Amino acid sequence: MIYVYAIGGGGADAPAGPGIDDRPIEAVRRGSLAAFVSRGVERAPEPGENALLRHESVVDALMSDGPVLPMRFGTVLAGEGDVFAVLAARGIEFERSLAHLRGRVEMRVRALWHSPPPEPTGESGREFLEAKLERHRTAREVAGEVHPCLAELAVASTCRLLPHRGTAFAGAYLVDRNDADPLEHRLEQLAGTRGDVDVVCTGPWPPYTFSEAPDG
Amino acid sequence: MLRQREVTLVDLVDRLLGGGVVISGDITLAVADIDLVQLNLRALVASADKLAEGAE
Repeated sequence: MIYVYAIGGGGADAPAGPGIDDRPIEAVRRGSLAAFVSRGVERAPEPGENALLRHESVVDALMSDGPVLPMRFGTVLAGEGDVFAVLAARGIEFERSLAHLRGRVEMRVRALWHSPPPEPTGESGREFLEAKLERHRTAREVAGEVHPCLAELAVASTCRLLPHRGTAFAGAYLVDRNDADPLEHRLEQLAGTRGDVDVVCTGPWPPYTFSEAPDG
Repeated sequence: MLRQREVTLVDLVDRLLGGGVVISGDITLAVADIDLVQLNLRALVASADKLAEGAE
């Protein structure tokens, strides 16, 4: 089976690797596109920390070589014929996405509560709902103060409330590479205004969140 | 530091399993079993929680 890491431009070189299952990385090229793959993978990898980091390091290496569309972790096709089939069927979409992403990176932000609002347990159904609503209201308030100020620096953005325990919101921002530092500076200014959360920024990342082609 | 590590790990899982191009349709395909993904995600986050608790 073939593990697929990412789609990139036809001229991009395969990173040195090693990849999933210690397999080498190869490029399968079709026209202006290339799929970056490892052949001889026995099964879809389990999403442990090591396999996730292998996938990420391949995509990271490609990112320095031009625009890249990361695949969802765990994508395995039966053989090279299927890789060509995907490149043929979705080639126009992939080319449009790569053009849209050229010179752009993804920045990610998390707001972590110092002490999270209590988990809704609730003696009664009503108390449970009230605790849940209160958590949501506080998360929305935090996101409302931070997210729009960052989104205005971005080409595209997403905002998820309460994605994990202890996290008020998680935002992702697609920015021109030169706007990554200004976004971080803006966040530093905003971070000081709230005493109840730590705001953490990571990136620049390949555009995992923005790999779908824009409309039109 | 450990709190940062927890964030990094959760962020890594979110990026790689929550984003990226999804191939579907009638192309022969195997992806990581979704139950397995969730199980491993819980294990990853739980181990990061444990690290964070140890730091406090």
